[in-house]
Amino acid sequence: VKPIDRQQLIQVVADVLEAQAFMFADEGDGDLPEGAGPCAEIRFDGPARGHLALALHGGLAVDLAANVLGLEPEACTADIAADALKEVANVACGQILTRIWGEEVVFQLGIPAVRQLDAAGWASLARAPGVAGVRVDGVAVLVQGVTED
Amino acid sequence: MTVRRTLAKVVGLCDLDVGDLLQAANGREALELLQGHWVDLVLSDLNMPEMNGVELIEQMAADPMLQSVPVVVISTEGSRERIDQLVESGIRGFVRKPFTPEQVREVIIETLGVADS
Repeated sequence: VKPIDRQQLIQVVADVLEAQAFMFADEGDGDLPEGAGPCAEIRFDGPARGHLALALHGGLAVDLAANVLGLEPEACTADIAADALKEVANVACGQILTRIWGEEVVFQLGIPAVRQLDAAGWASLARAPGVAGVRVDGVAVLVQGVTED
Repeated sequence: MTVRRTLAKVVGLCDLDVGDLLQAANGREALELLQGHWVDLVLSDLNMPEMNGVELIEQMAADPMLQSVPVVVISTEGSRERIDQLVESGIRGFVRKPFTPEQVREVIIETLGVADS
């Protein structure tokens, strides 16, 4: 696998979180923070094949859903939070593909899926290729973008 | 679900005289709804399970009862070639995600030809 450009990945996630959820991401001290929580993954195929994954620690996915949908966090069930995370991953994937490969090529995007990462799963993702860590209001976020041969 | 909820909220904020707002989880559900309801506008994503937006648009174009219903695509799609293909297939508008409420409002007003109040 080959990592997608880290800075572009971080910038896209920051831009999408800001535009869709009024959330502001920063790199913090550049470390890969510990955490556990839902992770959305979406595959793409075209001039390059690979995937993007987006993992949010703790209850950040609930806050994300609340912001995206204009709901109170208490009204956001786990399903609603997972769906909002899938949608944000979907948009981030579309944006990163255009920024890297331009508008003249065609990609097929898969249907996003969410899985729960425990602390070990989170740590495993943090060690994987093409992963960058950011924080949203101090809460850990991991984003992974890789292409495959 | 997220996109549908968001769009329902945006349409509600559009200050337009909208009657019923029907929602479908994918292209197949949308076609089923369209068989039983007359609608003025379809807002559709592309990346959907079971039947995607391109297939929905193709099916609508092949159905004499549905081919005149305007379709606006709201998608993360960024390929100029793909968007051109959609325009050639008859879509009336395209909004790229992430979108603002104003973008959706403008394309609805433009597509339906209703007055901007």
